[in-house]
Amino acid sequence: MDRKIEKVLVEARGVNKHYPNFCDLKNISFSFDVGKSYGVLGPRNSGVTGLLRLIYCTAFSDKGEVMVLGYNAKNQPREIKSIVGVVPDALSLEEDLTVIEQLTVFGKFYDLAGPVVQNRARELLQQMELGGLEGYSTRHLSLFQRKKLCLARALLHQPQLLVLDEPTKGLTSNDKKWFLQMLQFVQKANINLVIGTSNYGDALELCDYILFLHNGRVIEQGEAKSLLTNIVGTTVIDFQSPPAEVEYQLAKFSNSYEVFIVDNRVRIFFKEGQDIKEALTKILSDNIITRKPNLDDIFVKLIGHSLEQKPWATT
Amino acid sequence: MGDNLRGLARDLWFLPKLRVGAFNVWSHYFLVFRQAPLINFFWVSVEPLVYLFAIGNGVGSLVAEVNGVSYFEFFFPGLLAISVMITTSYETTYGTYNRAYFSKTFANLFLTPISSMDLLLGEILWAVFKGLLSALTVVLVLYVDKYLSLGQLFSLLGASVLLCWFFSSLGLFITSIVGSSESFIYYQSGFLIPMAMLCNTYFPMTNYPETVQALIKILPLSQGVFLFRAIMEGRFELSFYLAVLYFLILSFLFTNWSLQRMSKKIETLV
Repeated sequence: MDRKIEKVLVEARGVNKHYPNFCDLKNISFSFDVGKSYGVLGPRNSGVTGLLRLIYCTAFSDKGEVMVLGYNAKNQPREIKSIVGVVPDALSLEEDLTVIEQLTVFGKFYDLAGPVVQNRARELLQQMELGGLEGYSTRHLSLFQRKKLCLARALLHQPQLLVLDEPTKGLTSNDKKWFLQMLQFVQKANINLVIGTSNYGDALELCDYILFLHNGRVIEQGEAKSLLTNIVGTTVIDFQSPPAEVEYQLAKFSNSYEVFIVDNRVRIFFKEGQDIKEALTKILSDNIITRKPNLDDIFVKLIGHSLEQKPWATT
Repeated sequence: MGDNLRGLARDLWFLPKLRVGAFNVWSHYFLVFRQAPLINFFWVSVEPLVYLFAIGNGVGSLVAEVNGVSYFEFFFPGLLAISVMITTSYETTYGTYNRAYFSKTFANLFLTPISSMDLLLGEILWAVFKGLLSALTVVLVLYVDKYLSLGQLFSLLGASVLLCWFFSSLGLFITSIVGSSESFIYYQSGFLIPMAMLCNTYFPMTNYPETVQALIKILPLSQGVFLFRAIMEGRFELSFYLAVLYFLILSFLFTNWSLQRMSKKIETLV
């Protein structure tokens, strides 16, 4: 198969998709370029998995088009699948196979010769620190080992694009760090990443560009680095207030600043050049935090509540 | 209604492409199959042989003759058809359902460069293979026991392919319409087992009144048993070729129909 030099990694034009078992996608359009890493960020059941599935072609759009590296997802799913590696959210590994078989069996589907697959599989297992577990049955692996095995499997055929769904979900902080470092290593090998996540820390660490999804719609997108300052500002003051005074605080600051209420805490967003010290003198609270904005603030601003709150909310 | 039927006819009228992906799916299942050869040996081979000797020889010794042949010779074409039917039907009902919803095999394989058609045709290929394995054991034992000539052995295997294809596509179709794996009971106890008991297998059809005979005759297992008996008796008349046609046409339709329906379901698997 000839590999064209494509500039566009993934493009979606007016994509609609109905899923019976998760969030529907509504009129999604975006364009991702080759050479950058992309994050698709959203709270639980906001359509992230549904969108990723359209990219790696295990589902197909009802309306609109998805193009991946120049191939049309509807007409050329097999071409796309042969250059895309996937680490799905549900870590679908086959329980009856051993660790090494999990990889070699997959290799067959990519037209790779037996010895090539064997070598590459062993190499990848070493890299994933799974060496020595080759003959182990998959059912005895821990979650972290499963994640690593899934990543190894996704890299087996040297894909041009790696799609990961919730790569660090359920991992301990140490394992998470290891996994993120491994993904940065993958990035350096010129493999494009598209990551679906509800964890904004991961997205910031790995992605150049972020697409925000909520209830199956794109609600915001932009460069990961400038997005925070553009939407939120340079600094956030986050302080606790007695429940009865929340409304009063809102009234007091909302004339001059952007103010949001999250539970019993008040968040004030400061733009470039706004006087933080002056605002601080007006705040009466024994629990004040001054910090850099994070992606949670973006969600508070865009959808009115924090990511951790109300994952079931449908607005 | 007319439009619906026309739409359905349009949906069903295509030639499914058997690509290398389907064979990869098959070889994947073969690898898993090899992990537990003994389980499969008991299920696919030992069970039909036990039936063959318990009913064919045991019960057969109480019966003098049926239609001019010994009961054993009357019974084994029926048993061959039953074991082919049960093995393939199991594979594309419970087996497919399990691979699709519980063991994550579908979700897994569907990440590789295959289309949903490849995946489903792989299922059918696999079921056909397993059905043939079952047929092969029965036929080989009969051959060793000198009940069959080599020509009959291969003819029986050839006809088994038809039955395997038919029952695997019908099973896949049933899988595409059930809501849960419990519902297979309707198909199993309401269709397969009654056919296994009544369709000219354990006793000749001439025991029924004529109208019932006509009804029983159109059931697929009766047609299968008819094929096998015709091969054993060397009667290759028009009705033999009609039975072959019956299987070819129905298998083709059920294959396409189940491919259409299951492809949509695969998109929702996680």
